[in-house]
Amino acid sequence: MAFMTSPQPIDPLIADRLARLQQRNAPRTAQNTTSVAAGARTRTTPAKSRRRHAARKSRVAALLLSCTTTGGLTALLSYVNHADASASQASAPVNTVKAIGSGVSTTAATVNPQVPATAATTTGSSAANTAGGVAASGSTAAAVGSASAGGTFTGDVVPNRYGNVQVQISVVNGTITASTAVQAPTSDRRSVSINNRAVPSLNTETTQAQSAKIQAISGATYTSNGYEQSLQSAIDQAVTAGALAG
Amino acid sequence: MSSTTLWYLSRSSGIVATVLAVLALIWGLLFSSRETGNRLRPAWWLDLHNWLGGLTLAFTIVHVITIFADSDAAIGVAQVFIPGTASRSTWAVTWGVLAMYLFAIVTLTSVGRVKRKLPRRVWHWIHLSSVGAVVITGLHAYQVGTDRDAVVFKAGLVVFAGAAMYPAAIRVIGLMTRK
Repeated sequence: MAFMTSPQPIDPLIADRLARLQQRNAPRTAQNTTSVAAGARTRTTPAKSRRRHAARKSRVAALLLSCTTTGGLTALLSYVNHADASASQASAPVNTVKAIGSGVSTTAATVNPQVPATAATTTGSSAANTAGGVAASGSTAAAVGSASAGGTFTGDVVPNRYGNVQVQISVVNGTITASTAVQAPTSDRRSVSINNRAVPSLNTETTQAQSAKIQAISGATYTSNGYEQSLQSAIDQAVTAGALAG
Repeated sequence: MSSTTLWYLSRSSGIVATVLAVLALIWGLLFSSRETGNRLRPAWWLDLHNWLGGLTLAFTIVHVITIFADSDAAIGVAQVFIPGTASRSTWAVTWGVLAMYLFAIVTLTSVGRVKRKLPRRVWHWIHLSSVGAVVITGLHAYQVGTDRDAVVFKAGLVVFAGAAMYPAAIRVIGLMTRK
């Protein structure tokens, strides 16, 4: 059995090849060659080889391109959304409501000509009645006295991820008599069904509360928040025009 | 970071992840098909394919994190990990969750150590499921995406679907011809 444990003589050809391989790998080996025994075997630790990626430059390019595209798209989406909101606001009919009694004239208060004259007509004053009728025709609306001034006031367009929300209120004798959402998200069927349920409730709440302090409708958070903001701007306009008490 | 910014970031990362997924698929199909000709640098193709797959998963994770962080999106832990639990756009979110799982499985099983442990056939079938992942990603984007009505989105969907169909068709025709 002694022949099995004794080292076998190596073929000189293989020995030569191993020597050449060792020589070729020599530059890649680390400097920490440790001598196990003096004059005997030397143990070499291979240097930590750097993993090479065949498409290293393309990888970097893809990463940079992806990150840049994400950032650019984020900025673009933000810009487009704001531009849409501005366009919606610009396209809304804007007329001048002049409150003679208070001497306030503002272009911020909007009067929608599509609103029936009866909805925008104030009662109790012939001048106020005229104001409603003129408002319906889309011209300058005049209201006599801040207390008796009335009309229709359209709030700002409030964009959200599902669409725009815009509220219009009708004020008669310092009271909000009607509130409607002239714009509500209709981007998908789900939004339509949610808003069909939420908007009437919000309209009712507004006339009951007589302010923008209304309860959000569960399951319609976006519409509720947008409604509240737009309603507040419509009320602000009515107050500025003297139609509502501040 | 505001809710709206997170929402924009979520949308953009979702779009980028989808594009990367389609590119990784195209790269993979072109790389693995005999019919697409001899490539001079197969290592480059494979390396870039792997990288695109990894980037897809990374941007998918960014998409999920941003939508989760967006308090207005009403996407919680359950909605992120359990399909069919979203109250709004249930099916669309379900496709997204399934696609996320598939991308994660495909990418992680392609990591050297895991890949070596799996039987070649099993790994191949798992890897082929990435085609399904890309399809349901498109479905997810079409159903829930805010930009789905935009002309650019529709055009992009058609272009990328066509671009993915081309190497897929070559591959399928090649397989049929060989048999």
